[in-house]
Amino acid sequence: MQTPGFRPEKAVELIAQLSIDRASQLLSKLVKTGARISLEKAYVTDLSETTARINGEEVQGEVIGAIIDVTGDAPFKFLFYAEASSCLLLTDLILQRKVGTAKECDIYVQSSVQEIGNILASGVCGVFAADFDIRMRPTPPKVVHDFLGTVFQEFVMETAAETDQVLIIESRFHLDRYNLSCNMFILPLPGTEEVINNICKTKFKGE
Amino acid sequence: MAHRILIVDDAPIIRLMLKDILTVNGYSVIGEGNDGNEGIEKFKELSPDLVTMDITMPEKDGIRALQDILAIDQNAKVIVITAIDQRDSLMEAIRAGATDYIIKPFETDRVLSAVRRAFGEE
Repeated sequence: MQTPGFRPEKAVELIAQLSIDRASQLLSKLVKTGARISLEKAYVTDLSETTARINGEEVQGEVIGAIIDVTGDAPFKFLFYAEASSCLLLTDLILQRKVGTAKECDIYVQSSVQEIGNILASGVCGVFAADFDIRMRPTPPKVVHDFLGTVFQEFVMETAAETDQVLIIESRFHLDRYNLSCNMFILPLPGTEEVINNICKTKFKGE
Repeated sequence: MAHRILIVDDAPIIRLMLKDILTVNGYSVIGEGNDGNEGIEKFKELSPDLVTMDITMPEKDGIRALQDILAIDQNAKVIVITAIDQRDSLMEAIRAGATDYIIKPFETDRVLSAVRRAFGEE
């Protein structure tokens, strides 16, 4: 039975927004410049449709992404990615070097993405742990350097085998002073949605 | 003589950042490890005065590596490093015998403060 006043979409959006606010703070601290992360959408969709849309996005060249499996009470998969050229800039910012120093996608550039993914995924786990009393732990990030469609395919691969209907929380990053955007996807694994709904019913009752 | 430090982290960029901070401030980074197993091998080989150990790593994680290092030398100084909001892992590391901890993203001052405290310099 639906709890009176309970709106699952609104609650999921609120959880996503809390996670994204936390991620903004962490990214700003890491790159030592203001990072704004906006929630694009939190929606249930067909994986195949999303994959087709991602494949159609106008991303020039390759991207570097960090895929993280988060284990625990409400497991999810986490993806952070940016165009390879943007990753060079991110590396210079993290290392506090003159922008333009990084010229090629070497181990440090890949490692920057790895570390951003790790820190952001940990931040999202922290929101769940602190605000909803759920225990979760990120596994070491897997870095993928390829075309966006391939990276996204890798991200959703295991989930797609189990179900086609998935909840996706999608957001976009902007760094002040720099023309750079990055993306973050949170993909709750089967069963997690139920946990989130239960939390929502108790935490956001009547909101 | 400068204190000798081993850095264990699976992220090369973090190893580079730590190495820069430590060497500029007079410490000697004598080795680096990419995961827990490498960290233990380097610890046996180099006998460092201090180890900085990331917690989340592939193969063998930092907590298990910390336990193994303390089994080799119960007086070993190991500072664990973890991403923010990983309180459970951090508490586990402290219980396992970590000397101190550093939270990522880190500031230079926090790194130096933890290292100096470990050496009784603060």
